[in-house]
Amino acid sequence: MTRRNPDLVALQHDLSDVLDDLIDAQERAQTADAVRAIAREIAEVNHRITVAGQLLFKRQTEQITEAVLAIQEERAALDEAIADIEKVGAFIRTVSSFLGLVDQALDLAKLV
Amino acid sequence: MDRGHNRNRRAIGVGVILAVSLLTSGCATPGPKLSQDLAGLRTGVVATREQARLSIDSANKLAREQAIEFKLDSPAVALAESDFPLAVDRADAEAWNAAFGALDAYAATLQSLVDPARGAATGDALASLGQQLNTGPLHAGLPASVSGAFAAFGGALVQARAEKTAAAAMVRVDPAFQTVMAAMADGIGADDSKGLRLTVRSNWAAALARLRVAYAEKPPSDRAARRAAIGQFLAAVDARDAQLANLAGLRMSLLSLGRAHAEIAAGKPVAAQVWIDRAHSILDDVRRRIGDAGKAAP
Repeated sequence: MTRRNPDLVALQHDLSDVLDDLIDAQERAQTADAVRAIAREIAEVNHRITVAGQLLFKRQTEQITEAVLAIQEERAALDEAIADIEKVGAFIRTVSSFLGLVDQALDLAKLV
Repeated sequence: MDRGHNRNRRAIGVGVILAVSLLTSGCATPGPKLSQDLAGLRTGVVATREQARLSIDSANKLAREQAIEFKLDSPAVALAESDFPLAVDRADAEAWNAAFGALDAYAATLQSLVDPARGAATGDALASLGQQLNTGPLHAGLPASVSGAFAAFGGALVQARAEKTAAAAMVRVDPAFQTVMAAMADGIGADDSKGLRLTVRSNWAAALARLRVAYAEKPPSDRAARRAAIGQFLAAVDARDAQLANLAGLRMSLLSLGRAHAEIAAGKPVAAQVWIDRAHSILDDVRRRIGDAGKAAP
């Protein structure tokens, strides 16, 4: 259903697994140096996850924009339907107005 | 001749009354209800749009903060815009906002189409025409009851046509509406290892990793400093959980909007309202969590 780039999705999945492994490793680290080193790796992985995520989001948004166009086209058809209804009302009012003029002409004719 | 003419006129009058009664009784009620359902759908769209705005803003703020930290840790002297990626590019955030705007405009047009005032205005115009026919020199001699019923029939007919058009439009649009909602929900992520939810979790992982470093650097003898570091760490965990819960809520709201549209299109307004209420309730939760996070901030 989606058109997300499969390579990016796979990459994001792999990065997510690496991130989890790093978090796990940092939680079990025995020295401050190890905690620091793993924090740097987590920051590196995070940078890549953010970039890949932004690209994936962009692809998804393109699909959203495309689907929204279909809705906007339908909206134009709805606007036409509204205009048609308004035309009916305007037509009836025009007939009323015309008949009013005819009545005035007939009244005048009766007086002559 | 005169007697025959009167008989015909009476027959026409009875026929019109019967036709009007049948038609108006069959199609007068759903108009205001459909209009209400669409008004409900619009409030759901507005609530979800606000959730998306708050969620994207907070995700971008987090990503920006972590990108700055990442840059500060780097020995590189060059500075590039690409060093500071946002979770959601500004153009994409605007496209989402525009998508919500288009959905609201679509629901507003449907609502306007089935506006009972539109049918009533046509009925009023017909009533005026009937009055003119009866009172002027060209008088048709229609009984007042028939004239009134004719106007009601005209208004109801317009209303029925609008409802039929609106219902058909909703059925036609539903697949595209579902595609938009599913794509948006997919962009947010089905769980914390996908989509924007992964980006946010990952950025919080980087923040928490730094807080673990801060703790590791405190000597065991300095209990007060270690306690403070633990406090900061746990506050960050709570903030992460709140932000991820907001994104999960946003995803649920998006799917709820899709369900609400499908239920209205299927003529099931009660079920639709349940989904719309859910979107509102989630927005309340999102605001509460953001408020709590604001209070907890140092």
